[in-house]
Amino acid sequence: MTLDWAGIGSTALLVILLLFVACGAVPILATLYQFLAIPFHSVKNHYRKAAPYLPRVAVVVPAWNEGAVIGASIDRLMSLNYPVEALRIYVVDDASTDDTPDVVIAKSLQYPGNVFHLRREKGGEGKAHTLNHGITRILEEDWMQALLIMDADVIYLPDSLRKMTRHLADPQVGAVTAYIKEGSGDKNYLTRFIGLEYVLAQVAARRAQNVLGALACLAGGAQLHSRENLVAIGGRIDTTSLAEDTITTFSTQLSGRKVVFEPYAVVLAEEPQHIRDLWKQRLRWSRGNVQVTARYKNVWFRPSKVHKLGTLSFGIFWFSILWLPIAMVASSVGLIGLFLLHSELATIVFRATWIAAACTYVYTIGLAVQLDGQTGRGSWREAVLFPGFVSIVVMITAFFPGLLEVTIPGLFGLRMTEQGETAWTLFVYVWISLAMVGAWVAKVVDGTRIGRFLSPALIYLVGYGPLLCAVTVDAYVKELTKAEAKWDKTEKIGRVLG
Amino acid sequence: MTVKAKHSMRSVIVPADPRNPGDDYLRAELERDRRTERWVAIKAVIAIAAVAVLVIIRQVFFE
Repeated sequence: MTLDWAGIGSTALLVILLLFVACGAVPILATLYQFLAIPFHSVKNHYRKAAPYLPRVAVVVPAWNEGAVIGASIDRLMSLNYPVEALRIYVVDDASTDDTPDVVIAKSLQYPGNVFHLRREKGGEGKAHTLNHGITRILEEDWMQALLIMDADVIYLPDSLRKMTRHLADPQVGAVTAYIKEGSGDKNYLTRFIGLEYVLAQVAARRAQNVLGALACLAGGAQLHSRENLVAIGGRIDTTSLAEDTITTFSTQLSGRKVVFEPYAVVLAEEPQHIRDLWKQRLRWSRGNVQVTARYKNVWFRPSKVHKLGTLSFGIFWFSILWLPIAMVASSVGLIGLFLLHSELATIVFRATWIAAACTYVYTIGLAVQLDGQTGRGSWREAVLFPGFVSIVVMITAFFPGLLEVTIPGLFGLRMTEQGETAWTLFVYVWISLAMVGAWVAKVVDGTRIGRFLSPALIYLVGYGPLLCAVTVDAYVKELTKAEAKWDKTEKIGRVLG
Repeated sequence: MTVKAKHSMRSVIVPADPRNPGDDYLRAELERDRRTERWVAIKAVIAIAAVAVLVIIRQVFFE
């Protein structure tokens, strides 16, 4: 008997190519699964275990050259609907060279016993070092029962702090986070995309994480820790990573305490208006996530009785975001390979993948714009075009076969040629990878004269998601080449409207 | 201590001192948020219905 090596090889290649396409489907299905968990938050939430609780809260505010915003931030904090005798604000001035010290000292005189100015003479080491300077001082006294870590430029809505503290009434809860909402007064296309992204990633996804019992990240601008939790995780913030917020979140859960997201505690934040600033911010976050992935290599996919970070679902969510660019490229390679080998099979798997993507997009965006109606109404164009205009066309191609290739051209008496059909098919198969290139071009031209028009046009065309994927690719490269991981602070100028 | 807001058609309890609203108010606020959260399920159903409409259009006109 002779083996048909050609047949075996052909079948093996076909299976490999199908697996490549499946790589592209995993993030879609993971997102769908996560968003299908959201409605369960109606009944599976932490409200039954929460109770009225107003502990003594120390607020630590890292500040480096925040003179433009810090005064208003302190006033806002002091006007929170929270007992004034239970509130202390420690501004850690990270060797600012502007008027930050003068502003904070003036505020400490205006609010004696509530506002404290802590000065670091050696600055520029990063947010974690700055926070630790304040935390060490705060822990020296017994006064603090809960610690709120925030950014200098964010604005807490009046009832937000007490909506967070109520969850700490449950001793099993170690930390609580809030909804960081894009709150710039002068929004542009990018801040509207970011606003919508925050609805998807926080208001929606973190509800699902509440349901599933594992939270990926406490927002850096809004994390409230119980004193017990802070002490249990070492009484300091990790300084060896660019993702100190995520490390703190993981440490809390690994020590057996719960982390809760409170959707009705709203904190307004100023987000970048230019792609180059967003890129800088997200590169730091993405590199941090790569570092977190390596640090917790013994946690992934290892279920534990103590925490749920090791569950299959949490691992899939985490890696489907981290490896999204690889999945997109693998999907394109798989489709092109199948097209060359077996074009009918390519058509079937292309349609299946993109129909799943279309359903997931409609469901997730449809739910997100309802969960934060204000952001949804203000960002309706970005909601419609979140995946990008071209991806919407590709979804329509998959969902309504023949509509764009036959029906619409037919209305004008036109008919697509065979070569045209082949070119169009190949284009839609590779589009998901090309989109990242388009997003990268948008970043390259951002800041130039042509970029003023071309960058927004490209982002609407290729989508906001591919922009974040392109940043992730940059993060891979920077981590692989061990590029210097310096703390690049995003410049804030006080554009938030409270 | 809490008082009832006169401007509202519905009887909404507002705290006399927002900084120290009292346990009754905080408990009512918690209960209100818990009940509001039930709407998330309804919103999800509406989003699923939007997907269902697309699927029906596909099945009717493009199968």
